[in-house]
Amino acid sequence: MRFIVNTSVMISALIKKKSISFRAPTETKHELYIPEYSIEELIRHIKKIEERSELTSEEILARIILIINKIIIVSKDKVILHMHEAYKIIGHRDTKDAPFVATLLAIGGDGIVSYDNDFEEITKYGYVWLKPNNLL
Amino acid sequence: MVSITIEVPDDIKILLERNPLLKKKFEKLAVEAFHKKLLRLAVADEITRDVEVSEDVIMEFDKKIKRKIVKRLEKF
Repeated sequence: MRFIVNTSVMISALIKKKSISFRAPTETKHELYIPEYSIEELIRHIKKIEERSELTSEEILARIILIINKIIIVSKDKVILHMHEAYKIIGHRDTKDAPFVATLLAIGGDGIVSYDNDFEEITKYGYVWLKPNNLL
Repeated sequence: MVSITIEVPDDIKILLERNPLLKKKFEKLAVEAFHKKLLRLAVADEITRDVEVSEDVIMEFDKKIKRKIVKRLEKF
């Protein structure tokens, strides 16, 4: 199956040592996707994340590499085409979640992996909202 | 070395029994696959130990990063 990974999962993977958010994406057999800019923005915030993380800089870097190897980045050109529809689906809960829903629509995926309850909205449209442990 | 028995579909079993060279290659591949997977799990176990960080910290970063992603996509 094909799932979109929300940034909350990535951040958790880089902050917590004992992290199912790290194990799940790296060990799952499902295909994982993320919208363009997500990795870039995550890296832009990496210094701040490092300050709050239980991991060393080297461990964070190692995890980023392992996660990136498992995730397919969906280009902004594809994501942007579905932003309007995505706002309709999730905009009333949180507009910031729209790029992830737009990515889901763009790839014709099955659901979104996130800790964020707002994504339960997508279940009304036949998609799956799951937490990282459900990936294993 | 220890010996492990694995189950394979009947058609593969027939092929392996017919060709000893193929069987040897298959066994080597299986050992390599086991080794690779076990090593990865061991590394993951080693780096996923320890204590908890507040969920609030994660959600705080999540909001900041998602806000930036939306802004950049809207500019595009």
